[in-house]
Amino acid sequence: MTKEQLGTLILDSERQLYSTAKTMLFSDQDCADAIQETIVKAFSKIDTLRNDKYAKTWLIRILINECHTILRKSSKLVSLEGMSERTDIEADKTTDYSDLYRAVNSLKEELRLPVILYYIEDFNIKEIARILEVTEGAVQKRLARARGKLKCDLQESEAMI
Amino acid sequence: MRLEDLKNDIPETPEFIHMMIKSEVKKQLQDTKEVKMQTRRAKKWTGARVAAAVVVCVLATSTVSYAGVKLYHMFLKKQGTYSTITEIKLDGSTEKINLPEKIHDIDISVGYIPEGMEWTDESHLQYPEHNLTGGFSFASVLLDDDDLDKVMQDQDVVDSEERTFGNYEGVYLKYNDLAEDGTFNQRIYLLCPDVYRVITVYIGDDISKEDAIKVVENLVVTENDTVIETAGLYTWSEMVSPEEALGEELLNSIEDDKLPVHQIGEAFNVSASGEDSDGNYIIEDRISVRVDSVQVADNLQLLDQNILPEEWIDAVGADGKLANNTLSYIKSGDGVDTVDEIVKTESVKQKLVYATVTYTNTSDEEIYHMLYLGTLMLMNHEDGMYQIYMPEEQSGDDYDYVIWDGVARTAEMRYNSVSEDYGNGGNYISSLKPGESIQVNMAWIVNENDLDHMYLNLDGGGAAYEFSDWVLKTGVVDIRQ
Repeated sequence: MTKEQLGTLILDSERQLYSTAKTMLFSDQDCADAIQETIVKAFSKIDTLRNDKYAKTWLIRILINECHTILRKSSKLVSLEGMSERTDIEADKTTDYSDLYRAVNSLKEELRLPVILYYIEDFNIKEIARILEVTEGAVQKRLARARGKLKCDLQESEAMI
Repeated sequence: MRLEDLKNDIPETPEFIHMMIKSEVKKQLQDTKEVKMQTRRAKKWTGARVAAAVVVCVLATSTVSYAGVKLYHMFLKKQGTYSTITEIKLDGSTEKINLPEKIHDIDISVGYIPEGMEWTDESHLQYPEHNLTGGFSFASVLLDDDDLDKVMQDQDVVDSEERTFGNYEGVYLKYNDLAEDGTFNQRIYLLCPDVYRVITVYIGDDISKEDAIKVVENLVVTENDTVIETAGLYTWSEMVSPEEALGEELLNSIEDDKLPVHQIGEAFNVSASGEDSDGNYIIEDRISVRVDSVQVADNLQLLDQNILPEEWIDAVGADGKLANNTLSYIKSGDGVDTVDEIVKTESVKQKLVYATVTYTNTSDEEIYHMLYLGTLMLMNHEDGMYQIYMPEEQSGDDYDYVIWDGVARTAEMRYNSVSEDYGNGGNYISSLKPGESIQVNMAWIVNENDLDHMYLNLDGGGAAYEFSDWVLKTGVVDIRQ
């Protein structure tokens, strides 16, 4: 892949990069940092990408690693309750999110990330397995658990209305 | 609203991030070597701090002036018959060396590639036909000086040696591997103090020891122009002593009066997700479901031959019947003085389990893109309790667990007759009007000796190994044979 092609890929993937980073970091400042580091690393490692068809999964994996670095640095690994509170605060600042989006954001990262990559970013099971470096079976299991939890959470939220 | 519509809920990319991306890409394409490391919460760089950073950067690029290259050593010690300890020590006469705040990022390449292998990404060298399994996986951690007293313990090691790989000291390990399934059964730790790293090479069971050593002997580690902060990098001491991740505990046993169990031919309600006529995501509680029949077969003739799962086609023998499965019963070792070993094998028949299920919309609204999912659970029922049954975890007097090489699998349906070009899995019913019914077929291949443990979960949540809230609410269908 040439640098120009990588640049085009990154520009075309802007929304994917932001939405993936947003599910992990919540703060737009942190998202900006992670995405910028990702771009820098991607260009510096471009010669190691031997197969262009994996370029997007490669890019997302770099991004996920960068998000984890930021989380480790700032010790922002909060409890599930903390994540729910953060989600509510962030949501109130901007727009009115659907119950489904709130429910997805309250999932643990282990379940939330596959849901985002599968239903929003349209990666398939195999690609998600490569990105997360787990087996395809693990991805399927996590998606099934996430669906089950979302059904529970949404049912509870409907009952509360 | 369906899960795919979450796309509309993700906020728009903030303008400042959009501009940053454009600007950074433009800068990279202009081939600038300058790397912007500062974050938006950057510390203020005083003159002294900048000067110090320049000094350590100079040190980091010079493998000659860095005295530490010859002062770190990697040692291998054996514990018992099958356990090893890998440790890194400083030359005893040397004072502790401080890591710089910033170091260069590295590129890993190899001077020797076994025939037929290729790089599938920047850290994986694999055989393309092995479907992204096996091969080589390269990773690195920072050689921190915090905790060289900690050691890396490995168990179930059947072969090990301390040696030099090209310019670097390292350790080769091979682990006990009972199933040749593309897992990483070999590992090499490589001490690279010149770049402040320990490189770990994970090697699959499709690679010979000779090739593994030859590839790593010809490893080329080069610093690139990207400079990264050492703070926050994953370190050797973290790798040696990882934080324990606490997982959720699954509920795998329940009193039998808490689990509704339906019979074949009995209708009951499930909550199904789908869309209403306006495209809104809904969960409809008034979908009635009934298992009409369950058939067991030795072949795949009941199925639509145009949509057979690929691995099932390979599981049919020349006689047209499903091939037997070979179960291996494993006695666990302690990893130090003993390793896992196969104590006996057993050939069992594999059977097709074919369920016919009817969904009926008993509400007064049409439902669109209705997700349906059958999940096969295995359970024991005795002494007033239902207990999740995991065949792989069964143990006896002389064995601790079981593995097999066949295609038998429970959990999510592997075959489904009704699909819609919608979502990612296609297991959707395009629409169901009020009062309308549709019949679907689902199938699995299971070991014959598991037929009398089968229960079918139709709640759509996919729980197979736990009694989730949905399973306890909706119940399961007894389809034991």
